[in-house]
Amino acid sequence: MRTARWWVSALLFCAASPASASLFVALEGDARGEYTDSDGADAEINSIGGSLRKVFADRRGDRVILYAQGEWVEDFSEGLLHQAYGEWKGPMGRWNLAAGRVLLPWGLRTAWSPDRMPYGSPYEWTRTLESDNGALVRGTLGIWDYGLALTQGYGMEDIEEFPGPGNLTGRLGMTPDVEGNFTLGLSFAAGTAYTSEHGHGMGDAMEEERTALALDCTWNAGRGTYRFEGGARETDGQWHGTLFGAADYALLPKLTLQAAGQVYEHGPSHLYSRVYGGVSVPLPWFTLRGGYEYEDAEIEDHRVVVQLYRLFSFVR
Amino acid sequence: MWRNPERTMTRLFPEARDYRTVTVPIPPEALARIEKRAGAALLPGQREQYQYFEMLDGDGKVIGHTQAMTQKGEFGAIEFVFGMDLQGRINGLYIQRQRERDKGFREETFLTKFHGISVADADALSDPAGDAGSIGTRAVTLGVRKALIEFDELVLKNPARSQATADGKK
Repeated sequence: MRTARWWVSALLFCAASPASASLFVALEGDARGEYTDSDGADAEINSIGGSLRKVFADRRGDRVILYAQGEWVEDFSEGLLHQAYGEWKGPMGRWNLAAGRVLLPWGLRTAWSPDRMPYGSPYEWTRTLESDNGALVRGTLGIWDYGLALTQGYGMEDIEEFPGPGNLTGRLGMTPDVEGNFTLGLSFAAGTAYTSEHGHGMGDAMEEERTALALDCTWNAGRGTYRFEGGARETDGQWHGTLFGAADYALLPKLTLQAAGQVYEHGPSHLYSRVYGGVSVPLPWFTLRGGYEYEDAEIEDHRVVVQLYRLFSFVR
Repeated sequence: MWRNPERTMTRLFPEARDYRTVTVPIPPEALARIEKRAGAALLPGQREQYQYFEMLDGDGKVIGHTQAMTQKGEFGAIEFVFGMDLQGRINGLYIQRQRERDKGFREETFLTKFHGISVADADALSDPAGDAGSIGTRAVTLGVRKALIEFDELVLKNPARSQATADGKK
């Protein structure tokens, strides 16, 4: 935790410096009301958060990027530092080297976050680490992009010792066309990870020695965006497979249909599953999303959710 | 956010070895001039700061500029990117993200009609698709017009900024 605090302090100091640079700021809010069979009605400020990105340039181009992203979740009950790193940018993005708390190069998360969606994240059941402390090298070479991270394995949990158990995560992606309408990626991870189903320190983190693989695909076709991720992780000699899919389709200029579903192999003959259907409507100040989710996991559950979401970004 | 700028920049400027992000504040009087010349208001989020990219060769000299724009379409934002040579002429335009019903504005026959258009042509720039145009073609045209006028008002007519660009050319 002290490492994370040091990084945040250093980043804030640099972000406030008067040196010639571009500062990108994003703020977002996510309020939800839901009714579930298991817990009844509930409403909360699900998240208030934001990010800072400052780019320093020398005479040969952009050279150093400082980035921090954090949020308060679940009615401000917990603060999460998702990312806080400094990055040395190589020429034309062919290679970039980051150190600190970095987003791990894994699956759909490379370019999309399920956290602000009203449906269950595909990474809860698979206990996939979102970010971790360590070093990351990534870049773009023609149609290819890559990322390789060597990290402690603690994720967003407290750092217990240095250097920690160790975790290696990588992804090789391909985007054949310049519009970026189709992307395909292959991810792998090996090592020990401390993670909870919530992805952050809520007291139920487990140490797990694992090997994991995933194939992800994003396809923008006409008015629709379709995402897919399938993979498996091996722990204690047992493989757990999972399949996730999500679709957004703009039916009308101000009405987008959303659907998502996941199947997760929890045990040799036990499948978790869930499916979501809903809509997204842009309002003058917010995006309104709402829908119904059916889940069959530890228990069978029905959930109706309404979300108000706002993202505000600017550059200085 | 433009997630993977290098991929498109390399298409626009294959000879570029790197790029520099430049952010310029838009004073109220400049904003009024830009909107009057463009014949339309800048979108929220685009009214306070103007951003472009200087494309650099191996010695750090500016060899052109890249602009990333967002304009409203029928089904949300249309994001596109274009490059300009040192004479301010468009040398390439690529659509990045959109989900429009119409596909005409994504076709190369439409996009190449912007090639060679310069900052000096910005005020008179009209939809190359003419009467056959769509919401998509009009949005791209308006976005290009705004971007060229912003570059003119905030960079070319700004002595400090244009000097910085000129210094890069040395």
